[in-house]
Amino acid sequence: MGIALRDKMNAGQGENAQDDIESLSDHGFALAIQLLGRHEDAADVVQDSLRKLVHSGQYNARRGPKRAWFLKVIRNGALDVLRKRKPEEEAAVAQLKDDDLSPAEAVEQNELKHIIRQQLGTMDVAQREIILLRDFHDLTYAEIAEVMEIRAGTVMSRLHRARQELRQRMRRYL
Amino acid sequence: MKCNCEDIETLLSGYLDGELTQGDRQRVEVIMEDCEDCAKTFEEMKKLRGEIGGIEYEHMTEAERLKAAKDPVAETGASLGQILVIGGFILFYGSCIYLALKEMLANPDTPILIKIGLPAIFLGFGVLLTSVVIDRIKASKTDPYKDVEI
Ligand SMILES: [Zn+2]
Repeated sequence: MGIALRDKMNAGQGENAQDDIESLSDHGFALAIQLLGRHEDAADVVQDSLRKLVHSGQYNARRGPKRAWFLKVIRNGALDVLRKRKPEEEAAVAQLKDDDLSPAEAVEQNELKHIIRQQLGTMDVAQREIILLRDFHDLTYAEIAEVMEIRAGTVMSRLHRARQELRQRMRRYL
Repeated sequence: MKCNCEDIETLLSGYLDGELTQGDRQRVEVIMEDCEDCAKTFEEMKKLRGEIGGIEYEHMTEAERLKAAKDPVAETGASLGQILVIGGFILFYGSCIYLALKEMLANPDTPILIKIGLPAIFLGFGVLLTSVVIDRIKASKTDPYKDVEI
């Protein structure tokens, strides 16, 4: 019986094919799981974010590309969840990250990607997210600054530091 | 001139992302021709960047997708409407039945079996209706997607 959010969204949308609800949800979910490591938490964040935006009328009011903006909402939701997590929950999620790929997936996905994913998972959240926003979500520096609410001038150096850290960890595999 | 590799690294990162000014871009290109270390660092960065872009992360399940795209406010409105309609029907028919029964039971000519039978039928009907409504409420309160896939 539910009236799909999609119907409400279509009104204000059109210019950007990648801004439809499915595409936004997919990108949002990917970022949420990258930050949170736990499937259910990520799904909750996506659901909350979509509802918040559509009901506040912000989705339709927004002009131009919506992806970076939506990722920012997702990010804030995910960071809220992280802040509320108790230490023992965090430990459980860390455990989950260790074996988050089923053996079949690990084989399917090549070994190097698997290792990178594991290394990213154990890095500091801020470093992990800036790398993924750039290399996975393909955002520009200006968009990264918007999502992370940092000055655009600091993106290059932060990103570089994060890449340096990852490169250190990956050195013996490269 | 000896290359100050560590200082150049940040620029290499920016170069990789296509975020440098034209001047810096040219500077990096010259450096990479001269300095093997910087060229090697750049290749490593480029390789990592490519791999990261291709990492597979989990996707939302179809059930989660549907749930996220549902509109909770519209749903609440709809179920409020349902409750009003059902409640109105119960009040309306209840009053009619009450009035009809009252008349019949008060009338001394009504056969005794009808005096007992008719209220029994209406009572039974009421019980059935109530149990159906309770079932519906229970069903709508449990998450319809819970059993689909987690
Ligand atoms: Zn150098």
